[in-house]
Amino acid sequence: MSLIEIPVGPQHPALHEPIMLRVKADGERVVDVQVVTGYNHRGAEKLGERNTWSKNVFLYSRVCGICNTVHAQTYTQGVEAIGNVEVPPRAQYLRTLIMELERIHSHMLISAVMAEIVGFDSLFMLIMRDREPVMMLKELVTGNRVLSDYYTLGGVRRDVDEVKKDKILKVLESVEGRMKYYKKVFEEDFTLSRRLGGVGVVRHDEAVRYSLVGPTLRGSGVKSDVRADDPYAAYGEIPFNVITYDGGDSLSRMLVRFDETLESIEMVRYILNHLPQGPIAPKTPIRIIPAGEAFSRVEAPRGELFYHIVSKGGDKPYRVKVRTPSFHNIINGVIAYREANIADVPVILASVDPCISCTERVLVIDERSGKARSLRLKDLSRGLLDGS
Amino acid sequence: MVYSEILLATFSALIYPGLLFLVVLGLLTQWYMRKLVGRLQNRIGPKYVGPLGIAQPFADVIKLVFVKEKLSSKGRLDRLLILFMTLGLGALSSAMLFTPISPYVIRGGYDVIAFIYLMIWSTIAFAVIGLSSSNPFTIAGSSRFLTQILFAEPALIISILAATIALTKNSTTPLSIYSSAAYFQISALIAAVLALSFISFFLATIAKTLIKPFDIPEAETELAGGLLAELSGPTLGLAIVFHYSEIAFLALITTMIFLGGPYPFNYGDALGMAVFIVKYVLLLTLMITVKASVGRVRVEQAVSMIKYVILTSVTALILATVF
Repeated sequence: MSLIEIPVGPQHPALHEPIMLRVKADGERVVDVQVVTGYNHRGAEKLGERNTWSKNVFLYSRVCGICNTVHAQTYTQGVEAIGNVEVPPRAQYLRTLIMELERIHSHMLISAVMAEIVGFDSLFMLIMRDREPVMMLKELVTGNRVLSDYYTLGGVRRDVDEVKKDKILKVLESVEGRMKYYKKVFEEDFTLSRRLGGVGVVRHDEAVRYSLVGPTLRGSGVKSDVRADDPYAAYGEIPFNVITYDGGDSLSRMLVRFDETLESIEMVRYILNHLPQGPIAPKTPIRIIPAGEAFSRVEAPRGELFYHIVSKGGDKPYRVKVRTPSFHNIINGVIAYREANIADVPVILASVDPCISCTERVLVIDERSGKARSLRLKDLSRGLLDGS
Repeated sequence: MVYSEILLATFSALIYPGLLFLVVLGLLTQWYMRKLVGRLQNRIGPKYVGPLGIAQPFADVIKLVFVKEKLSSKGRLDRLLILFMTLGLGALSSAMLFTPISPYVIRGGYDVIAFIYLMIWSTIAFAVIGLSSSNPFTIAGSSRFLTQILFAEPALIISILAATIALTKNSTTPLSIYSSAAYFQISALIAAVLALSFISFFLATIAKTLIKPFDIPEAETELAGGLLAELSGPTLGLAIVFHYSEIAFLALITTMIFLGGPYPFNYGDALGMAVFIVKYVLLLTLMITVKASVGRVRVEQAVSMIKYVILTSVTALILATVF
């Protein structure tokens, strides 16, 4: 039987961002999957070299919409390390608070998307409905539902008072109940368990060898979490468990997220009840950073997020290199598609929680000569990247 | 005399309960499905056109057929597509003449064979939609459809046979759709046969009309619409009309044969009509509840599920013939 090639993307109902999976299938069985990226490159790294240190906080928040505060955290903590800036403890707690709220809504989002992908539209609608109060909490704390712009070099921009605290605790109580219920649905529902269980298995050793990160790694039973391994912000002072599941399949990856959400809710409670007193930001804004270099990493909802920042002194960075978790998970996650069914391809892709826009890089390698070349903006705007 | 009969037959085939009735009922059924699924999913559902949005499906079809441009792509056999969808719609309309709600009734012993023949045309028309394009999504979708229908269609046929055999045991016109529906009576044997064959007919209907968990050939999030991926404008409008007419047709047949239509009242009574409508709406509600409360299974999982549906219908058939 001849192979048929099914293009999943760059525009496809299962995808919410442009990426292309070239799926070669023999009937329903997948033979090969090729990941084609390059539809969404925005040149954020290069742009960062022109902006001032403080302006870049906003720029790097926009690398990813869903996990914008973790990007701001990674950038600011790197810059603060170069400049030896002391962040007040209350600001550290507030940063942790907002990152955990973000993890809750991000995990809820991908659970909803997963339900949609297996055709369970009702569950998608209901999870999205219950996610909305969490977005409202984010707005309550930062002033914005999605792009919070909560960070400033050396602190945060808004404080949390008793009224807000009570509101957050109240909303999280109902969210917790709902998430426990949805976890049960994922474990027990007759279609979901059939569609996710045993699909896209990544073994423990493979997950390590292919540098998978985040819930995708922990779903294969590897206990690795930057929050516990290399605590940043206030994570060193907050008790929490690193969740792992041994299945290695799509269901395990989703269950890791459900348990992490419940864990995050507990963390938010702890943070609000143990919020230290004191200032939330330095009195004078920080503009000049001395020469130096920093590696900064945090645990984003999708896995380990990594920034390399180089300063040559002055008000602008020399180089900011971003490595997002999806970069590993999408491209190296191809191993999960072995022996899959066509119907499983979107499920496996969604199970690594892909974030396309933060993954895009431009480096064109000529396969014949093995040489790398860069592209000009003009070429990019003509869309020459694809197929070249 | 002959002219009046021809006139009556034409009226029955084209207007009630044939083409026009089926199309209108199909679109009303679509409205009910959309509204109820919306409510189950915490949404409002169709709202703007007509009271409670009841005319929304009509507005959608009119827009698709008359306003949207006709696009065609390389390798798509548009005329074949339209021909077969029209044939399918025609076959369903003619099959309605076998039922007691038609003013002009076709009836006779063993007419269920002709009825099944007409019913199969709608499946063939749907298969042709998939085969008339070279789009990879459509090809994958139509191969899934053919796999699925290979199991669903026999279940459908066997269960309707079992029900008519049981219902027309003592009739002068055995295995007649009209006799089974119009002279509906209930006994222990009939109840057992009908219960089994209703379950299998209902599940096979869901599989045949691509309702979740069996919307595998369409699978929007996998195959971007699969079978229907290449359709647009008027052809899509026609496909929607055809698809929902098929759903309405199968739901009507289920109500008449398996649920007894107006039983315990008669066709023609006001009370009978009310009972009929209530049964039809309840059946749809059951269908929609299934649709809204499950996800989609994979094609091989679907096949292994439908296997048991066939088994159930065969049990019903054995019960009906042996006792």
